[in-house]
Amino acid sequence: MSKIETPSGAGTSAPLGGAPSEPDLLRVENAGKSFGGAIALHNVSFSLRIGRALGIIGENGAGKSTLMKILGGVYPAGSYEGDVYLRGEKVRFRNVQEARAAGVVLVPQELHIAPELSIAENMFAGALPSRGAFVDSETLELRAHTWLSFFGLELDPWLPASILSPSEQRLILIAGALSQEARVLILDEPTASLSDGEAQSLFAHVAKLRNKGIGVLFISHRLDDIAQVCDEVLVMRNGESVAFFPERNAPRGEIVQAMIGRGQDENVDRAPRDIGDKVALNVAALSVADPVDKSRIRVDKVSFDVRAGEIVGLFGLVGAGRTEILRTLFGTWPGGFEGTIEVDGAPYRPSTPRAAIRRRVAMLTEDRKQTGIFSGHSLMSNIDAAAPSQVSRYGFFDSSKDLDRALGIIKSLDVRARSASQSIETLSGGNQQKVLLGRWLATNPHVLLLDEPTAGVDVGAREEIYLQIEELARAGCAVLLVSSDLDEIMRMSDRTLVMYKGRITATIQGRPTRHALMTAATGGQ
Amino acid sequence: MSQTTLPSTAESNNSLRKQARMELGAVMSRRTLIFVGVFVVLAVLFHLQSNGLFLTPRNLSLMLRQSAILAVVAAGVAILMTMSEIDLSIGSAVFLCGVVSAELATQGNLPLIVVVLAALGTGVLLGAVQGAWVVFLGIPSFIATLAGLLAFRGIGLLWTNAATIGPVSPEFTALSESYIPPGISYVIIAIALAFGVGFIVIRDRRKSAKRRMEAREGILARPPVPMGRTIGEIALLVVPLGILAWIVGGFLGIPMALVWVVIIVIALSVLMLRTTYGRGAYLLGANREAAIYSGVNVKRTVFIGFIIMGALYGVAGVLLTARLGSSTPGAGEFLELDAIAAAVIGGVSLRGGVGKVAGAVMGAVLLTTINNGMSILNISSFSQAIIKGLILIAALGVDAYILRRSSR
Repeated sequence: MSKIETPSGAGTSAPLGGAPSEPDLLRVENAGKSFGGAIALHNVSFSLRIGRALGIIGENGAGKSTLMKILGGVYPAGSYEGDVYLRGEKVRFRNVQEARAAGVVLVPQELHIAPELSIAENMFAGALPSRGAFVDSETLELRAHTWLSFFGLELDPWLPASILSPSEQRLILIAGALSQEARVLILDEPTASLSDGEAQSLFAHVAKLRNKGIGVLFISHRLDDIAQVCDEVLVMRNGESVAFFPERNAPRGEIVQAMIGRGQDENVDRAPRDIGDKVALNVAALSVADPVDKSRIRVDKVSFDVRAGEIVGLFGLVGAGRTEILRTLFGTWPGGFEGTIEVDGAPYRPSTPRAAIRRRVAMLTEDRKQTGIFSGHSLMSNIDAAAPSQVSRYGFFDSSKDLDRALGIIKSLDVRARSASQSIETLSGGNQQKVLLGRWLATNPHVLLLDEPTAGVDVGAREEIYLQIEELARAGCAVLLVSSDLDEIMRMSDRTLVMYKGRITATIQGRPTRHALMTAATGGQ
Repeated sequence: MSQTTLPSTAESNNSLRKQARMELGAVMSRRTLIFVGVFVVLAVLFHLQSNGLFLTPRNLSLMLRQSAILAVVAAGVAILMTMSEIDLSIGSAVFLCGVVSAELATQGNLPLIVVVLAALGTGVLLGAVQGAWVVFLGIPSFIATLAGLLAFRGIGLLWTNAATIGPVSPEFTALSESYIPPGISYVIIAIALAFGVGFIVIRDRRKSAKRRMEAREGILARPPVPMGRTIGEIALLVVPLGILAWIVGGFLGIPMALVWVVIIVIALSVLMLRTTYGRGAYLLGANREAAIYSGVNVKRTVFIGFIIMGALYGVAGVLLTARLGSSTPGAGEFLELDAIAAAVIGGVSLRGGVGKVAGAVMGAVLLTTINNGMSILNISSFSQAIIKGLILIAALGVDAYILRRSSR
């Protein structure tokens, strides 16, 4: 095992800024990657200097995470295009371990903490100091202690990691990663699950690291974070780098403009719809708590209503609290909530999906595979799942009614399938999504909750799903559409609520502009 | 059947063959086909090796009786496995139900019906207890029923002091070991055949008529049911019933044990395939989270599953006591493992969501066939165990292979 690395004597320290003649710490040239036929990243180049922090910003799906996974060794060399240079030398990482050994450390957005293991073990998981086959606990403790105190965390390294707050958890992982002579630290949406105070403390620690000469790539879609941490900002859109601001505090308006691209605010012809005065869903002062850390508020006193026949868009970026609202309304949020909710004018206290369905509330979930499809089962079973009682009597299915309903839905949603008995996983993503929408149509919903309804759906099927949702609204259903897709919100919403950090920061009547949406969603008033 | 867009590219000879294969697939799944194949090969093998002892009405009738207990519990565990649950306590629970029936049958002058109901009640109670652990305390069924495996046999042994309780009355024994006389048996088989054929023909004609009407009205263009399919389904009914008639005619009639099995299989198959309860069970096995999101009452469904399993403990306990004429301390040992093996061989996936009650019962019959054949051939019980192990692995291998092929 390597010697214990003390933070003060880190081998990577260098004068801040670096002389111009010195090669860049990290340089990326013409990086590109595609999945199947879809291009996720195209021709992206940038460089990072010693002791600097480069912010990378873009809306969901802009290619930020793909880029970071290339740098961090998640996608092995050869599976992407372009070159990566570390201190002027070309590197080709085959896996995460190689990237780490070279000093490139990726801290992913989702933390994987083993709650029962100790803080020390979590910090150095994967690279535990050992003596023979045994863990060298003395070295482990010493190393853990050294790095914890560097971050000002006075913690016993042998306590279980479950006692830590989310920001502390992130810090100990960063600390563990840095102990191996890190040169480049990549932070992917590090503040998405942090409170403001926690984020501030994280920023302070990041600044400390920069003074040590470590380069930081900071991925975020919060303009505040970028402004506080970063010396330079790279804006990405649709897999390409579209703008670079080589200064601290770049004008926010310009950043937002670069994120959304040019104009394109042209109107799609939408068939007019009558929206009545009847409020189908009313939410007042809804607060939603984090399921683990109960003191943390994920949604903060949000109030809104959705009228029958209205499509209300709920726009925001990852971590804004939109999914929490939907899951609370459908009775599947594991944490607690406060506030009052009414459905069709009567009080409604969501407890389980079963109860929600009884009140004619339906929810199309974001993760088709996890919470949507029953693979191995027929389209008919999949359509029936939420509303078996309408095609059965005394618990027995009326098989011809059953089949007729399934075929009717398959036909009206134009699902491309051979038969109703076909297994659902044989369909394309778009057609699976139509079947799942069909499942909820079969329940005759009064309130339909949609969570990213066209994620992973091809363009053609997307428009068909949109038309079907509009049709449903025309029939009097209230639709609450959560999306982080600007075009989707602009295409569908009669009214748009924009969320940022658990609050509704803007309500836009009628057709929103991209600029207004992105400004409110990134906290850039 | 439906409407849309199967691109009609290059209709070749290949597609014709494919169509024929699909037609066959509609009547008989590939799994069933393999099953029947294995069965025929084994039967011929055993028959030749045993100098004609295997394929006789007498031996086949014996096999039907031997397989009954395993078939009953395999049907139950198939339901639990469909829901991604498991039951390891079967052998001990059946033993305990058998003890209850033997104790009551030998000690009091209770009517037989009371004895049977008491055994069933005991089974339901055991099932309910285990279901409660799983559903209300959230203990994984593997652990909850492992506890049952230990505790239930312990209770039975403590109660009987590990003694054999018996003999039970001839009427009790008759519950499993008597026969419906051949004459009446023939009539029953004929009626079953008539009902079955009538059902298939009328159903298919109705379906075709409806589809033709739809096509005329331009709603949906589904082709009428092909003649071949109707004939195929009838054949699928005629062949086994014919074999049964041959067995029954050659040896004493329909065994009572078979009657229990048939009633249970039909009832449970209807429950699983035709009711909202059964659909919910399959869905929650296929994707528990999605089932919750669809409003399936997961707790109730799983709990009822354990209750059903419990009732089957009772049935199997009665059959076991009747068959042995008494309750013996080692009765039902390892029955749970045979039941799970039978279900797996019959196509029930341990991961849940896949498989049928009838498949598990076929698996039980196949396992019994192999046992019986190997015994006739005087293969040592040690070798038998090895061969059974290999068969289980082979069954899973075939399964994985089919799954991979079909997912492509």
